[in-house]
Amino acid sequence: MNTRNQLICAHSTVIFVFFTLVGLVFLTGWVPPPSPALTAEQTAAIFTNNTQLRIGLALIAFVSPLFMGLAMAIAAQLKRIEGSSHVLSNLQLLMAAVGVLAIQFPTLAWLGISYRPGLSPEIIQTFNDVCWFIFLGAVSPGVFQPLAIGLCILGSESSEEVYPRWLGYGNLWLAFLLAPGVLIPFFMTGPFAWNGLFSFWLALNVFFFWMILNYIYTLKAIRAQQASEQQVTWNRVEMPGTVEHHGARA
Amino acid sequence: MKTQQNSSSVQGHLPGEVGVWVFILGDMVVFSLFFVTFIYYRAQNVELFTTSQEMLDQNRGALNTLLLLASSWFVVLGVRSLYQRLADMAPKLFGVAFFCGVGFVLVKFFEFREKISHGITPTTNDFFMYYFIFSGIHLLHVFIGIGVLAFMILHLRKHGTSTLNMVLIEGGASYWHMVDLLWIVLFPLLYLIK
Amino acid sequence: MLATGLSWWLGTHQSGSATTGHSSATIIMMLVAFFKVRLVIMYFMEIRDAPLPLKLACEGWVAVTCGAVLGFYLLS
Repeated sequence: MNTRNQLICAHSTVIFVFFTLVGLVFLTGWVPPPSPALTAEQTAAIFTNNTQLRIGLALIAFVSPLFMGLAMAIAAQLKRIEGSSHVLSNLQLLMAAVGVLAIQFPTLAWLGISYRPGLSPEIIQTFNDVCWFIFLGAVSPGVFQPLAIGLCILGSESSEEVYPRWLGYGNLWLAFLLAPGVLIPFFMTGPFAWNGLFSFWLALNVFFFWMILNYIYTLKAIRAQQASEQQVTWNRVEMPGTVEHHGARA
Repeated sequence: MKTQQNSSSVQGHLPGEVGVWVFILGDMVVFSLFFVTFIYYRAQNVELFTTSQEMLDQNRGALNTLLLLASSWFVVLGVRSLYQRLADMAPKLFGVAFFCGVGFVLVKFFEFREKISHGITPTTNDFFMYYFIFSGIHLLHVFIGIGVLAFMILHLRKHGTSTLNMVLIEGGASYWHMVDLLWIVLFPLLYLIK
Repeated sequence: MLATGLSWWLGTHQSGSATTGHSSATIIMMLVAFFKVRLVIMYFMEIRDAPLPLKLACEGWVAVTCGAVLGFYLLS
């Protein structure tokens, strides 16, 4: 029962990834984002009469909470590692929640500045700047979430291997790769600006790679949990009256 | 002493564990990206980069290179001493490496402080953006490496030869060597090339 | 040990030669740098005795990175 729900949560990753990419690539077209070096008028033009953009933004905003699905499935598996103390799995979960807000707020604010015709370009530009600072600049939840996962996996004292150890290191590595986004507010051009090599291209690829990698291994972990729980059920059926510890294997 | 034997079909001893190398190689690939990015943008503005570079202190940079090389060497000696069962030498050797690392940090700290006091910051121009950010990110790695060395020393103090975790020691040592080798490339790239 | 001594010496002498301001000096310097890196990898990190896949990955990194850096440098 529990594992079935975990699977549902984990599989929401597919919906999140698919619709977010559709929204980003085909609807908003913001791959890469419009340059920070544009003038206020050029920026304002992007948000004027752009229904396709608005639909894309609304779509991204709507599916973004599904990110929590994967985070919750990961949390459930991390709990198996941590045992009675759920510190790191909860930390991971909360970081993911903060991350969802970092998608929701800017997308809805972008919808806001494209809502009424006749807004001054300066206002649009300022709001646009802030939105990018949050959408791509608020990297810390995205850094600390994999960090929590990595620490949990590597600190595991459990005899059962829920996630492979190298995935712990992998999460640590990917966490660092997202960090350059913190430099976004300091540059308008170059690789550290919000449309640059490190803050955008690397971050985008790392983010989706991270999701898919952890999705795959979370599915494996859930299936392994299912298998071991099946084993327990069979043991109980085959040998009624035997004293079992919860989760004991044959 | 717990050692991890690699289970792959190819012969050889894997220092540390597989995951450590996922991290180390991954980090090295990212720095490759940094190096190439620097050279690429430099090519578009050689004049600016060369004149800005003249404001860097090459001697400090060279000193840092020596510090890291020396500390790596002490780490190698430390690891070897563990295999040779001279266990009481290892914490001291790692300790020397630790202080070399601290030395690097101090040199860098004074270097950055001097630049900033002259009004040179990451936003001064493109060259200094790369200078501060790339050597800054490297410095962060040095910080982490110093922490790893400290952790290794504490581990040695706590564990005798029988419960010693060589996977941990080798993994940490490999990370430190990575920090060293990245600077070996970064130093000429930032300070020396014309 | 010898390799370390060599690296040491090269390290201290390089800052002098780099002031001649020539492309060829830079190329030699970067090649030497990557040669030193390879020494650190093979001997300090003990990759010389590591399983083949790891060894190849490390050699590959040195080759590709060195190639890319020099490649872009020469294109400037």
